[in-house]
Amino acid sequence: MTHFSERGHYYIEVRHFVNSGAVSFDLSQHLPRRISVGPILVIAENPKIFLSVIKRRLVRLQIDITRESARTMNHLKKEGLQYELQRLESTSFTARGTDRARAQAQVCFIQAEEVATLSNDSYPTVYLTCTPSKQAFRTILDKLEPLGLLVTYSKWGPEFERILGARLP
Amino acid sequence: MKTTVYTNRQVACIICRQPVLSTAATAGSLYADGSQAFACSGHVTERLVWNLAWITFETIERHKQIRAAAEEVV
Repeated sequence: MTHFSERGHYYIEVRHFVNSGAVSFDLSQHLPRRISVGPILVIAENPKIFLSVIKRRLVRLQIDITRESARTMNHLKKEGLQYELQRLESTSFTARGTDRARAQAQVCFIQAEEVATLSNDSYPTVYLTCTPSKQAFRTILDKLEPLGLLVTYSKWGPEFERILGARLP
Repeated sequence: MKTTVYTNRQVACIICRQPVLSTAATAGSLYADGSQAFACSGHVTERLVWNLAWITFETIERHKQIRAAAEEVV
């Protein structure tokens, strides 16, 4: 079940799934839609492993798009599919720990405790796939742009509501 | 989970074009005017439908932006 909240400053989606496979599928469906909006932060317990899982799913998406593009005669659809393919191919991902890699990548996979070390100040999209500490959650909110989207697959407890509530005007 | 803390407003699904409550929607890319576009959460599981619909939506919005930019120049 998804809950969606427009909390004055942010869009928040709380998405619950029974296993990590379902989480990675959902995120890989969702993430390409947000690449066009701006840089993305994915918070994970094991960023390198999760990045490889997501990239495998995105490769499958690219195969599907290539197949659809070959199949269609519709000019508008073909243009859109080609644009999407080019965008997916040129999107840069990183799970590396260097400042430079994180600053340059369009999609950065990182542990919750490391968010404070990011040099980028704002992200329009943050995916949370693990439960952060309260302090780490505050830092994550600091990095989220106004009217940014926070998609959380982790447990959304009252403590996070309190932290969020304290930031509302 | 408490739902009373969440705002329940209607948004338009860009895939099925039906109005949907924000609690049953997911945010995707943006309209040409920069506002947030949504789709029903249920569509996420329909892998190809989800992706093709958003790709078409984004293509149309991109064309709107190009036209708007061209009109500004004129």
